[in-house]
Formats: sequence, structure tokens, C-alpha cells
Amino acid sequence: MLDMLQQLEATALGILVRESLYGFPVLVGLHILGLALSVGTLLWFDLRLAGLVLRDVPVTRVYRRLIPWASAGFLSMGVTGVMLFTGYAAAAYANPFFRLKLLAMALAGANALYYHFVTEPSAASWEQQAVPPASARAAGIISLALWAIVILCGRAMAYTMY
Amino acid sequence: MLEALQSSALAAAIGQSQVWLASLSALHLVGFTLVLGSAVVTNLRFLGALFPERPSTDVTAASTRLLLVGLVLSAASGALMFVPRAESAAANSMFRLKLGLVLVAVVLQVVVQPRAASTSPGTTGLMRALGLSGAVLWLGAALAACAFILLE
Repeated sequence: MLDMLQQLEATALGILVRESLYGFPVLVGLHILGLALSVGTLLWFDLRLAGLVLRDVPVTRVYRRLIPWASAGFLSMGVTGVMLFTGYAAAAYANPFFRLKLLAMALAGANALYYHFVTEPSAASWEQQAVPPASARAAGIISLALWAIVILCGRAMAYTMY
Repeated sequence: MLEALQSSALAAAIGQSQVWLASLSALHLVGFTLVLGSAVVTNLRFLGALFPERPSTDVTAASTRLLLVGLVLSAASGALMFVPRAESAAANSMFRLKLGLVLVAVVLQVVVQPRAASTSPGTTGLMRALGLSGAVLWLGAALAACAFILLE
């Protein structure tokens, strides 16, 4: 595994990220802007599920309106995240905050899938309610907590990796 | 004053502890995400790109609350991170630019945009201009913040 990660670091992209004057700062900047756009818009949907904002807008309408913006942010965050990983693959792999961040992201994905396949199919009966049922509220609150962990771990990596 | 701040016991405690710095920086980023999340949705609504069928006041009321929570978190953690490097940060042009842009953007979002939203139910030219101004100000603040952290 370590050999593979070191080979990844030795690629042209890995060297560019690590050694160019502005490569790393520009990528981190874009990664943070992607985070603000993705999690910043997703949190409105999570807060709507929790019954805290936009209480008279149907839940599925909030989702449909926000998801294109959140997706653009996630795309930017994913691409820049992979590029940053290429530059520091071995150090990131060994970092406990990186592993916790990946775990939180995986759990956030699983939470989203559970919501879409289990909770959302019955949305027609509750999506107009100011405060959705407990299962939907739980999905929103769990998502908020997991993305907060992702952010906290991402920042902690900066202080424990380099 | 900055010198005294930087040589205080608090500055030493924060500056010499990676755990303090990492925790404060992480909280700062959580606050920043709340602030930008509030700003993105508000300005997209003012531009008519999000919830155009809803009155803007639906968005501004919630976004102001979210912005204030994010600002309290960012400002408190930011102030503590400022203490151990007060002199260098105060002299940094990107840091000053960031603070200036944040100040103007907050006034726009907390004072100007809600007033415009309460007087114009739809999406007018003025509201689009306010949305564009807000988007540019917050993007500038975010870029200045990144430049300050990464190029310091």
C-alpha cells in the first residue's frame, strides 16, 4: 500500500502539487470554496429536514433547488481533494484525522442513501409539514453532525501532517 | 497594544499549543462554512437563481440567523488565533482586506438586503444588483482569507 501511495506522490501531478509555488495554496483555496458551496448549501436542506428553516417550503422543492449548487461544490471539493491527496498520499494515509474524515464522509453518504431509499419515498405525506417526522429530522441532524466532523478533521490534518 | 497582546500569557498558551491552534482553526472553518452557506443562498435568491417563486424575506430571515451564528463562531475563534500573531497579522494586507470585505458584506446582508427584501416581493433589478454585490464581496473575503492563511 505504502509503495502505491509513494508512486502516486511521484507522479507529475503529485510533484506539481507539492513543489510548485502556488499549486498547493490554489488547490486548498478551491477545496475550501468547494466546501463552502457544497456543505454551505446542503446545510439548508438539513436544517429544513430538522424543521428549522424554510418551514413553509416543501422539503422536496428545497432539495431540488439546492442540489445542483451543492453538487457543483462537491465536484470541486472532490477533484481538488483527490489532487491534494496525490501530493501527500503517504502522509495523509497515515494520518488519523484523514481516516476519520473519510469515515465521516462515508457515513454521510450512507445517511443520504438511507434517507433517499427509506425515508423520502413517503415524503408526499409529510413534505408540507413545518416539522417533518422524526426519521427525516434525524437524517438532517446526523448529516449536519457528520459534515461538521469532516470539516474539523480536514482542518486538524493541516496541523498534524506537514 | 498589539505587542502587549502578543506577549500576553494567553498568546503564549495559544501560540505554543498545536492542539489549541488546530481546534481554533477548525472552529473558524465551521463558522466560515455557516457564514458562506448563508451568503450563497441569500445572494442566489436575490439574483433570482434560487426559490424565485418565494418572497425573499423567507430566505433573509433564516439566513441572518445562520450568518450570526457563523459569525460568532468565526469571530471568537479568529480573535483567539489573532492573539499570538497580532503584529504580523495586523500588518498583513490580505488580513486587512479580508476584515474590510467581511464588514461590508455583513452590513449588506444584515441591514441592506433585508430592507430591500421587505419592500420588493419579487426579483427586481436592484435586488439582482444587491445579490451580485453580496456574491462578489463574500467571494473576495473568502479568497483573501485563503491567501492570508496559505501565503502568510
